[in-house]
Amino acid sequence: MKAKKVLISLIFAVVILTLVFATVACTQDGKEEDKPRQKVFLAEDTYYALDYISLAGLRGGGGTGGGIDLDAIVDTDTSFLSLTKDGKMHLELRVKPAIYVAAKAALAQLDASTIDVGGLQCYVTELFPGNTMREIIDTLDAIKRTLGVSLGGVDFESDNMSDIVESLRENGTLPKKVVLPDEVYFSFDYNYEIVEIHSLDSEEPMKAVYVGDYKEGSEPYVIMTMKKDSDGTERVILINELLHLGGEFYKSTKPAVQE
Amino acid sequence: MKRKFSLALGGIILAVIVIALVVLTTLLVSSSKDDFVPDDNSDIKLVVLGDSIAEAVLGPSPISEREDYSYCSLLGQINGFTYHNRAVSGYETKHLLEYISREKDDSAYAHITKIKEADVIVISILGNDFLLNGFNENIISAMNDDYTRADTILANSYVNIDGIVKRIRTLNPDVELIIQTVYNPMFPESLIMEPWALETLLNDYDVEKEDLHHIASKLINRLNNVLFEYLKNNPDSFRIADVNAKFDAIYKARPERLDRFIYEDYIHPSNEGHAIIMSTVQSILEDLGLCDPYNALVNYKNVKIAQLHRLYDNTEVKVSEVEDKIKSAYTIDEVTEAYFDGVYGVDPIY
Repeated sequence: MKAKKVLISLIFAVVILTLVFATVACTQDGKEEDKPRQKVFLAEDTYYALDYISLAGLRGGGGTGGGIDLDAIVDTDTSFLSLTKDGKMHLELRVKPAIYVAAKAALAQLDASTIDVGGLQCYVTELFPGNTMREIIDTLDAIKRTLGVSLGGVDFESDNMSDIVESLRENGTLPKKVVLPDEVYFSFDYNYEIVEIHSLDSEEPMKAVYVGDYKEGSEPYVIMTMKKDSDGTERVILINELLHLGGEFYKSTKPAVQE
Repeated sequence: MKRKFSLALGGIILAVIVIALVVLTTLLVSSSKDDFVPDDNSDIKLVVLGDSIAEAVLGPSPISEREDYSYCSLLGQINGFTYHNRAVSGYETKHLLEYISREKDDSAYAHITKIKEADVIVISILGNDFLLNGFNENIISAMNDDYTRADTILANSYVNIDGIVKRIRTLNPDVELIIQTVYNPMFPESLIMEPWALETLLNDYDVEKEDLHHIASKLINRLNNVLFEYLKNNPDSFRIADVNAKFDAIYKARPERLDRFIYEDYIHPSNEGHAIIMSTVQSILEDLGLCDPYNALVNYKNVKIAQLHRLYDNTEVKVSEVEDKIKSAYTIDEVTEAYFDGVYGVDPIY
């Protein structure tokens, strides 16, 4: 029962995070902006390691708090943010190996068909009209194509994933037995720009990372704050009030394994 | 002679009116992106605060069109304002009060600075005070004309609204403050109520599904009365954008449109619902003289026509017919009706 709860929390956290980051791409989709802006990017490709990420005190959607400790789920050793000198942002979130293995084992013991995935259908219908949970590959394609969110490490041609796809298509549920791949990670790819934000509370402007494109006169949904800590290390801070989501990335060197 | 002069004068006035109408009609019908140069109103700053209705993460469909469907963005775009959406899903009045009561900007969202510098602040709040605090129980109680529980919640809402208004006036004494009423989302097939509550209404109280809208309106009106009551006690403290009245008027004229206004989750406004909220607020902005109604109408037409082609070219939507209807519309609401009647039931390509 506890395993099921952890697993559902994990799925829920991923879905919500995907939605939050997906929303930044609302003006991507190949639309032309009204007026071209002179955008500012970092002078060099920069890698930021994940320090922490938390998702607490969830409100809305009938939630009443309690929250989900993402810090215990997301792997700070391998999750990262990168900002390139040509205005591209890449965020990669990976689950801690121990948690993932535990979730995989828990799922293998569960009757996964009892997990209610049908409740997501109304949001799929509205967020990605023309798609359904039953046709999960098409839906994931729509998410990747329109919003830049993709799922890594999943081979839909494999037997295990084929079972999931078929079961969703035929029954609208997961199969009784679900075997996850060895690793799954989430990638978020957007444009970014550095913008100076005027604040009446400080003489110096704040530095922001605008994530995703946006209309003239407005701003994107996700705005990250860039600042230096007391050691002089550059940090990128992500805040989302909706989820009480807080995360910090610090400037670092890219690990050799990810070169 | 006098009569002759009067007739001549009347004729001239009539001719002027006719010519003005013809010119106006021609301008409206022929307006297109190519021949319109919008006013630059970027010095007017619009800030939207409140809940998920304003935040518009759930509502716009597909989500990639949020910028062209959400009412905050539409208000900004069609009027050429600088606009900032600082609404947060799930916010009740107490959360909004806490959010704006923070001493200073705590991130690059700079929400305190945005409030201080705003010319117009539009707030959507109150809905979650009911929805997240015993909505089902309150509906059942309303059947017995028992509003004890609801009134306890609303007494707190009133206190919070007072705090919100006073805090905003402290931060920005001269801002034009607009607060929206909450629309009634209930339509016969709505599943907003939990099954047990719906069963109780249908079985124990012999309610017909067609009556659900009317029953819910008892509570919604009570909820919105928090704003009207506050305004009565504190005249001129803000303006009310009566979204509920506008939804209701359309519901009475065309009942089938109501479920088109509501998102698949039975709570949030759909694309069309957002457009109706936008026009409700827009009429206040026009009354305040903050924007040019003609420019806004032309800009809105351009937004919808561009969106029509972007999403519905190569679908079964009769795009050129819908475009002609949009071009010949005289009001923002007519544009909205032409667009959504035209694309109803067809999945966009995006």
